[in-house]
Amino acid sequence: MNTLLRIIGWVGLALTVVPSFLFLFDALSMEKLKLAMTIGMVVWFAVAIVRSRLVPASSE
Amino acid sequence: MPPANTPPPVEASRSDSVANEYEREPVPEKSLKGAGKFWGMYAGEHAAGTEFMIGPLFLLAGVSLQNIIFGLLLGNLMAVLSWRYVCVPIATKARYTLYHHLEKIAGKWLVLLYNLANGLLFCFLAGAMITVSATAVGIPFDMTMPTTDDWLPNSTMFVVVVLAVGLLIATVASLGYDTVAKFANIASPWMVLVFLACGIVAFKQLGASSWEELNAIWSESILFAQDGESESTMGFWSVFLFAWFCNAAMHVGMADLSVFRFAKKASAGWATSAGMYVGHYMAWIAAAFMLAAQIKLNQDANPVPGPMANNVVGLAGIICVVVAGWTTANPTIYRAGLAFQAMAQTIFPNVSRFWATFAAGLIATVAGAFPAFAWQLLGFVGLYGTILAPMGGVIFFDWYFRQKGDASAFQKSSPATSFSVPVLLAWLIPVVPAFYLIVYEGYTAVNFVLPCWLITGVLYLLLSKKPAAA
Repeated sequence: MNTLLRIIGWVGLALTVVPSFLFLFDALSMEKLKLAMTIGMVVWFAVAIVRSRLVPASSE
Repeated sequence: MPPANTPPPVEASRSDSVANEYEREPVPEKSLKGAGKFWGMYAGEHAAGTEFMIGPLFLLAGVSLQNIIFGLLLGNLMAVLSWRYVCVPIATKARYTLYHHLEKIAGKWLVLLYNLANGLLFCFLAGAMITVSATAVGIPFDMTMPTTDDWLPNSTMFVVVVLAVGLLIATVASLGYDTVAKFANIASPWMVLVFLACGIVAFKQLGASSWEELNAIWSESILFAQDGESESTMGFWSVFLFAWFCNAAMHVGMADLSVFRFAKKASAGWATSAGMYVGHYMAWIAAAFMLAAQIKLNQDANPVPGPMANNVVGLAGIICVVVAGWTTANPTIYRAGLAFQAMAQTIFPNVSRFWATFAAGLIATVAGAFPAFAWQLLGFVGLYGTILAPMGGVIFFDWYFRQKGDASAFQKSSPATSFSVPVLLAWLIPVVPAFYLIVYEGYTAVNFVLPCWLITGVLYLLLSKKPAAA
């Protein structure tokens, strides 16, 4: 469970930064960039909050 | 809560989950931590709300792109070296908080005075962070953003938003900040990536395909921001000194003794390079590009973080500004509250930490309503370093010339006095004239940090008697 959550969290972080590179190389529009970063933010925080409740700090 | 009439470990701050342990004793071997613990902490801590302000202020000051890139590169290197070779070696030998180390040299009452200065300066710094957060929170309310001409509150809506943000931060800080510290840890990797994304998107918006083009666009942005004047008030050395000394209170000022006393080896000091090159290099340059992009696309040179972040990455940028401001203002107010509590307890022993912290939060909120503190951030952090860092000079000179680096003798020693007049004089003799020259004559604040640090250290040696054991 922890590993799955961790992977989903990384996906959230990837959605935060990768779109900016795609925008840099004209592979993504500004609207889609903003949408992807918003989704990345929601995913990262949601997963981080769930992880902090499910996974004891000692196993981090 | 610290006992009445004793100053708290105000500076034991950034890793409060651990740093408030062993306040008055050396950190034991079993509690020492490897360097890995410090890398993430510094990277996250220096990606703060104020980074959104500092980069754009370089552009408004007319700093050339070369001077930003190379001045920050070398200045940040000096800051890292200052941590590594000035602060951390003492921290990993003495293993005390700044407060307790200084108390052994200067006495508890002088440390109280130092803490008061520290607390007040923290309040104004937190005020700038509240201003930064308010510019993001105000976007959905169609708030009129303050401009660099506005030193006073520019609208009722701005005051209302600042009050709401400030009171929320003050209340959370007063309740204790474990939750916010945990949230800050969660948010920091995300914030760092948002800063990076902001920089990349802004760079793309500038539309430069070569260094020459980027330089030309940058110069045009300065020209626009300065109403056609193109006058630089900061050259290479100013940027270099700013990057070196904007955290002077932490490295040469020794506030980070409290953090690095937990480090196994002095080499952990290299971890500060994560903070300097992520927060004070990448983030500042990214924020500067954001303003340049805003000038190019919207012909708007107002360096207000909320709208700037919204322009480049949308909602994620707005939330990042709020979170970055909040997660750094909160511990700052908490530390100021501890300082005020220690001061107040000398007269009113029952003053609670809640109300002391809330009072600090109120001062910060009032300061936040005055955009001048945010616009003057470059000067303010220099002043902050000029006032606080010289006490680190006392510690440094005492450690190498009086204690001869003998940690065990130092740990066994008791404070020689409860109020050291020589330390007070050594501190005030250079700092008071420097304060006058900075505040009343308009001299650049960061230029005074190193001279004041050196003079304070040398005066301390000249004015104080050698300990009997020596």
